Amino acid sequence: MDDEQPQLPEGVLAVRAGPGANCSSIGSVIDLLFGTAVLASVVYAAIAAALPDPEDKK
Amino acid sequence: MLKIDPGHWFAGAARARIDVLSLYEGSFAELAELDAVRRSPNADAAAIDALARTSKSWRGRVWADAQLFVAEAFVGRLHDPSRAVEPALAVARSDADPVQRGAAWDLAYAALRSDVARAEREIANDPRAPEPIRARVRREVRRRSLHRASTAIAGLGGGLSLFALGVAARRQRLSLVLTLLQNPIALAFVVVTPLMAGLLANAWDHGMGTAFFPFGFALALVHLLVSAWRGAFGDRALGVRVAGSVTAALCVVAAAYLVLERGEAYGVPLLEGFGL
Repeated sequence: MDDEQPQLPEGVLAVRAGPGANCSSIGSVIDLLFGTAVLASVVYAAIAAALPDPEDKK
Repeated sequence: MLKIDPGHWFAGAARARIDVLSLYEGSFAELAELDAVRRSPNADAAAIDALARTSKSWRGRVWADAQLFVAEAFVGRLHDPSRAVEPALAVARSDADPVQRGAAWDLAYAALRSDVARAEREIANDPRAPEPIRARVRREVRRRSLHRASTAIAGLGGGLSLFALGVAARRQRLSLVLTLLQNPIALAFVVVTPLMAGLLANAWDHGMGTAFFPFGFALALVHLLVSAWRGAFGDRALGVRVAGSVTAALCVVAAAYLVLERGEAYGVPLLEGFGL
C-alpha cells in the first residue's frame, strides 16, 4: 500500500479539492450540464438576434 | 480539600473551578453581575441593554465575555443584529484572547449579514479579521454586485423586448415576430435544452434539476426578445442587429445567475460550484 495516500473513512472512495462544497463528481456533472446549457443558449441568442430578415437572405 | 485529600474527585472539580475563576481575578463582582443575567431565562431586551451599558466600563476577560454575551443575544433571540455589531467588533479588535476574538468576528459577520456595505468596511477591509471570514464577506460583496448587474440587464432585456414589440407593431411587422416566435427549431431548442439538462441533473441527483426549469422560462423570455428584435430591426444595419444580439446574450447570462442565486437560497448550491 502507498504510504503517501491518506486513509479515507469507510465508504469514501475519493476526496477531491475544489472551489466549493459541491465539488463531488455529481456536483461537477450538474455544473457542467448547467454551464453547457447556458453556453448553448448564449450562442443561440447571439446568433438568432443578429440574423437578418428571412426575405433579405434571398 | 486540595491539601487534605488532593486525589479526591471533588478536589479535581475544585481545582478546575479555581483555574477558571483565576482568569477573572479582580473582577468577581462584575462576573457575578454578568452571570446573573446570563443564567436568567427571562433576561429580556431591557436586561441585555442594562448589561451592555454597565459592562462598557469593565476591563479584561469579564468585559469581553459580557460584550460577546450581549452581541450573541442581539443576533439570536432578540432579533436585532444591528445592535450586536458594536460589542462584537469591540471584542474582535481588542487584545482579548484569540478564542474570544474569533467568536467576536463570527458574531460581527452574523450581525452584518443584511448590511453587506458595512460588512465590507468593517470586516473585509480589516486585516485583523480572520481570512476565512474576510473571504465570506468578499463573496457576499461579489454576489451583491452580480445580483445588481444581472437584475439591471434582465430589466434592460424586458424593456427592450417591449420597445422592439412596439417598433414592430408600428412598422406592421408583428406577423414576422409571431412567425419567428413559432420557429420550430428555436422552440425545440428553448424547450429541449433546459428540459433535458434538468432531467439529466435530476437523474444524477434528485432535486438538482430544479434550477434548470426556471432557466427554461428565462430562455423563453429571451426567445421573445430575440424574435421581437428581429421583427423590429431585422432589416436594419448589422450594428443594430448586433446590439440586440449582445443584449440577448447578456440576458441569458444574467438570467442564469439569478436562477442560480435563487437555487442557492433553496438549497441547490451551484453558485459555489462555479466559484461565485
